[in-house]
Amino acid sequence: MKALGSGRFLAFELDNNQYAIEVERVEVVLETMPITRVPQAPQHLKGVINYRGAVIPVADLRTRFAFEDQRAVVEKEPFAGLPAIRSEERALALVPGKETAGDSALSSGASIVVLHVKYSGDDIVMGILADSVREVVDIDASHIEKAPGLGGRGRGNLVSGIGEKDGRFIVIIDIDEAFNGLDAFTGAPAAGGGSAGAEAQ
Amino acid sequence: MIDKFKAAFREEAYELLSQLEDTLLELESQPKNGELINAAFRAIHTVKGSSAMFGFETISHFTHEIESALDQCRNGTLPITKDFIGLTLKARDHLKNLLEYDEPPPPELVAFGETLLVRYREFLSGGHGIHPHASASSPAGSGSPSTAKQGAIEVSPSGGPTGAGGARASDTFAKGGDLSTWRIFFKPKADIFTDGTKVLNLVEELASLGEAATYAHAESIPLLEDLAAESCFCAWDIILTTAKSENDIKDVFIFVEDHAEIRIERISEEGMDEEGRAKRLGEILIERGLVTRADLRAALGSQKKLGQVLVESKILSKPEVDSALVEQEHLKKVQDKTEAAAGSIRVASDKLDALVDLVGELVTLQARLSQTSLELKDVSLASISEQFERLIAQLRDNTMSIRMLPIGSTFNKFRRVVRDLSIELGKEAELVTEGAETELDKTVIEKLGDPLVHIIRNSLDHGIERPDEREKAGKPRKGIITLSARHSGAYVLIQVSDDGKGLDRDAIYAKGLERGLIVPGQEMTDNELFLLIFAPGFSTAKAVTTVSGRGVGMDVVKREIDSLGGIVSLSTELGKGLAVTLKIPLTLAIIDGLLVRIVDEYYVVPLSSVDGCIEIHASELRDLGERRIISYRDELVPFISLRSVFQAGGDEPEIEQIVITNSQDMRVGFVVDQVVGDYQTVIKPLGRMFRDVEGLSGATILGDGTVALILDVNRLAATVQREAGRRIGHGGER
Repeated sequence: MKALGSGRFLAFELDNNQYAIEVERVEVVLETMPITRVPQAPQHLKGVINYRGAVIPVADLRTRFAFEDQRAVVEKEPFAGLPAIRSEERALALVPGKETAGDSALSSGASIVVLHVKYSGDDIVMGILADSVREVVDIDASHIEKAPGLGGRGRGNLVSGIGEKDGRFIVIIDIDEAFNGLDAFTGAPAAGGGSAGAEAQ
Repeated sequence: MIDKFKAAFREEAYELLSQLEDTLLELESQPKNGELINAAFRAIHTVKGSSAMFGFETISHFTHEIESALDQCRNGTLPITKDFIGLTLKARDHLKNLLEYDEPPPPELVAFGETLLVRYREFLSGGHGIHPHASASSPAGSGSPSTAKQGAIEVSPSGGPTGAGGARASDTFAKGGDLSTWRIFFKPKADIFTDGTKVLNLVEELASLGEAATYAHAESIPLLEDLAAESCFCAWDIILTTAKSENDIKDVFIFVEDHAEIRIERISEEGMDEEGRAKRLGEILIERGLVTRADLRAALGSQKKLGQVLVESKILSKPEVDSALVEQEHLKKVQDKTEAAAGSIRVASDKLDALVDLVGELVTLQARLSQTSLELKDVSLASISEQFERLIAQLRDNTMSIRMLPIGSTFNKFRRVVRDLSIELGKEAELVTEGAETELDKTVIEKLGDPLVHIIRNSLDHGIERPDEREKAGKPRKGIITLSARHSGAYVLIQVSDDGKGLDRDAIYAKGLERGLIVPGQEMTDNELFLLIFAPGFSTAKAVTTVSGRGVGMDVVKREIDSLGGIVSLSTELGKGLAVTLKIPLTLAIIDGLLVRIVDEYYVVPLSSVDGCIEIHASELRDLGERRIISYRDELVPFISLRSVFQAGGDEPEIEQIVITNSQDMRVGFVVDQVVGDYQTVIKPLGRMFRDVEGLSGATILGDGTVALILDVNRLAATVQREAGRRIGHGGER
């Protein structure tokens, strides 16, 4: 998915921003349903749902973007992370402890997009939250630009490009990149301190 | 169509090759055993014949030459040496690789086959013993996949009884032996409960002696308003087919003899009539002295079923007939079984997997049905749902018992590992196995393969000393590695022990410090300290050998066993040896669980680790203060609030429940808001994204379609123990 060509994308909305994912990755769009929280899970994972008899993870890209920003700040490259996130949201996303307090503004979402993701070498099925799913759009390669300031910087390129369709800008997400190599940043609290050290990761 | 035959051929060939491996390894210790030579010859001969038939030319050509060599062994013209066995084992591995390909196989494999054949020719021309080790390195290094993975599972055609007990009972048939069938009448006196006797346990114990059918006489149970809850009104007819003696049966009742009416009779001729058919109902009734032949003849005059007629004509009561019918049914089943004990049918294992998946979905759907019927408050629907639930539980147990395989099917693989590795390391060692007949779930067996190989390699590499060192230490030159398996409740205990040099506590402590796995001054129990050898990047071996320095090590063992929900423990004595014990749950697919609630979240505690539940009031909790210890059955049990472990938020209700669990022989309690009840739990993996999450071992789908998480009791208990230890020192632990 490095070379972005023309293609069909599923466009969805999250916090009034437009995002898109290659349509062939998408299995189905579900209406929102109760998500079972998984204690001590990485923050960007909202929990698990029952999808056709299997238990699949559901992620919130907003939390994921927040990490990206946080990292950008750490790397002294403010706003390099994601152009489409407005600053007030970013601020909200960065408030620590907001997550565990229950459902804050971060976790609404009327739909769950179920898709295939390559994760640590496996093809897994997972869901991501979306406020609304708009449509399937065709975007011509000539209307896709690599995301500014993001090219070729190794890890964490979760935006693969910005597409333009009928005058709207749509952020095309590299969904594989979005969840890989993330573990070092999630900092899930270890239960009980792990003093025996045998499983210290 | 031809593909189907080829698949069948492959399956058969894999099985023959795995037998061949066994045979060869035995032959190594008894090279003069003609039976074994014949068995090896037959295996190769069959592979040769069928490979030619299905067009596997390369295999047939290759086996031809081995066959000739083995033929000479049979005739005694070619001696069986260690080298010859080694070569034939290599040839076996090569055949196994060839089987993976259709004709023609890749040229490098064919070429490797030729190098093996050259060596066979050397043997045949009498030049054995002079060649160096095979020049081409074996491409067969992958090791042999377990037979369980490749093969089919043997299933006895008649459904068989339910559960693990049933599986064990079937063994009595497989062994044949002197089976007799007993009719046991057991009528406890009304006051039997007063001395604490658990009547049902007796009936169950009896049933565990063999194949049993029971009929409960419930006719004297009074109406609910007249029922004295502390009295026993039931009686049982138990028809038992067993190899055990009458005394063994009597022993079951040894403590209740005075409190019950017990009659034990042997059913004549093992319940068969002259033609060997199961008895007819009439004969059973006459034998029981309930009817006379005259009654019978009169009854037989009509066309209705005998039992029905006898009841209608008031000669017998319905329970009497029903009980006799149970006996008849049992006898028929026993007959079917003894006839079928030798023969079983082969089922492809993926079909079984599909069956288990379907049963899993049925269980989930059943949960929805019972939830819906509860919500609708419809009595007739509720009764259907209950019956459905009972049937599905039976179906589940039956299906799971089909998936149970004796662990011995993988043992030959380990024998091979020990053989090859001891040669490589210049050590002498032998693998002794015990409890090969211990059964556990097929998928569990498959997942155990790699960890066990690692443990055995580790024993051989780090435990067993070189022959000369062993002699100096006053041990026999040959080291013994023992692999044993046995059942323990809902778990299987698998132990790998060796008589090598054991673990050096100080060396491990020093290494742990060096690697930063422990901090200076840290107090650890022996077990905790020894478990450090399972930590990633830990190795006390001074030199990295080819065996253990390849980045896959004991940490893999711990991870795999954790993922199976198992526990690893170690015991060792310096200079005497090391024993690694794995405690593994019997099955991974469907378990009995206890559903609990915390705020609005549901969790499942595996029932096999639940000891009991007690209530605790908020005021008691306040009184305890920081001390999280409660007295349970005369024992001080540490407990922890799942609300805080899982950061569930919300307020504690006035009355909470503590679920007492048993883990690693320690009791630990978990505070929850509410214990909801039993729940048949279809285990679903949480997936790799949650691999760092502690305290949860999986998920399951509830009746309303939402997901509940399954607690990893072992892991959580360890946390509680640590917390308790920190708070009160070591006073509260057992």
